[in-house]
Amino acid sequence: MTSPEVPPVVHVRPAVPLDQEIRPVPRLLVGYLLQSLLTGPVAPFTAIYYYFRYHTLRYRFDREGISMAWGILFRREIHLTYARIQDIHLTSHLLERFLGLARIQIQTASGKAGAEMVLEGLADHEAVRDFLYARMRGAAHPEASHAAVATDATAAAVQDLAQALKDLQKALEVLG
Amino acid sequence: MMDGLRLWLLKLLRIPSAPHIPPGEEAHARIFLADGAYYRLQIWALMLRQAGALVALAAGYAWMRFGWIRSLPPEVVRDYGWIFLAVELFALASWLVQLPLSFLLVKWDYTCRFYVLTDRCLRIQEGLWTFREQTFTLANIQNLDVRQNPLQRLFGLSDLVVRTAGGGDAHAQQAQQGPSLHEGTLKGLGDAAAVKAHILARMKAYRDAGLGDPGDRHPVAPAALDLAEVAREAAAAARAVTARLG
Repeated sequence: MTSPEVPPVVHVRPAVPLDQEIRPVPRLLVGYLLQSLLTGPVAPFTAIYYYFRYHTLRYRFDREGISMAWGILFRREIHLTYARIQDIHLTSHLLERFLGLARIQIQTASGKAGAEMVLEGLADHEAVRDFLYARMRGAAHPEASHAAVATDATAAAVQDLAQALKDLQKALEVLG
Repeated sequence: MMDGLRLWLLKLLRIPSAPHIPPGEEAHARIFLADGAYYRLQIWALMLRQAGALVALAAGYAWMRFGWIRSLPPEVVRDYGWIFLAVELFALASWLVQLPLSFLLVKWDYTCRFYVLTDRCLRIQEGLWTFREQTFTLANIQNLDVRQNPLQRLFGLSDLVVRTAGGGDAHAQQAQQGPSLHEGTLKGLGDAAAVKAHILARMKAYRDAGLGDPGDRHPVAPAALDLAEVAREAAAAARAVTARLG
């Protein structure tokens, strides 16, 4: 009998420490300040907003999901679970690429047109993207390989039959 | 030489010139570019645009030289006539400078546009100024949309649009002018049917809403157990018993 083919198990190194508060890298502040310069006359105000955003931005990855929080006057916290991620986008414009930054935009199936969560300023954004991809639905499901053996009732029945016949054969051999 | 220069420029502008394949899926990943006809179509469109710009430049010059200037007092023309010439020359020079750059942009947009299709996901990598990498798992795709306009039909091309759940709030989206985040477009496919068939086959294997329900049934690995092999074993055992009794 051939052994069932087991799909290769993906071992993803934990790119992000779990259950720890993660702060964005300092070059995100540089990117923020340069970005605020582009807003022209209101640059001082956007710079202040971005400054506080950078200093209060916290990420936390745990076994089931991500939390993200920022803000001083208007505070926001977003939580989502890996299993509900619909798609992951990695975006970076020229300035961000020069600074080695990228935004990871995460969508769920809610009715919002924009991204539910935008992860900015993570040190190794490619690794985080792979980390999320490995955990999102339909990407790498450990159950899928076991389900093949457990749910195939016909195969199990035939297997059982073969075993029964083998036993019978053995019993006859003992008798004979 | 040209290739070295190209690579150097791509590196300078930090434009990813290779596809990122999800780790662990390298073995069954299919990487493809847009069709060559897509590039030709883009080049034709570029040439048409550039020719239009040149005609507009010539028309502007003719209007200034033979229409507008003649309506001005002659002493103004004598003293400030060089300004008109300078403006026209500047416009012409800008056109000449942007011509090779636009060409390069069209070329790189084609060579740096990657589509990666594995058994589990579809990834689209595109963009020069703003690089964008979209990853959709095939389990989450809600619908497929193959589109062709008359020009694309002529060139044998089609666009394949994949959509995932969500993404309402269309008015806000239009105001932002950005592409929808729940939608991925594989532009300029030569063989959209094959890509569509692959994705559709995987979509059909997931008999659920594609929304991450906890009781999801995950597609079983096809032919994991060889039924025929097991049956043959059973038959062999049965024959052995018969022989023993016989």
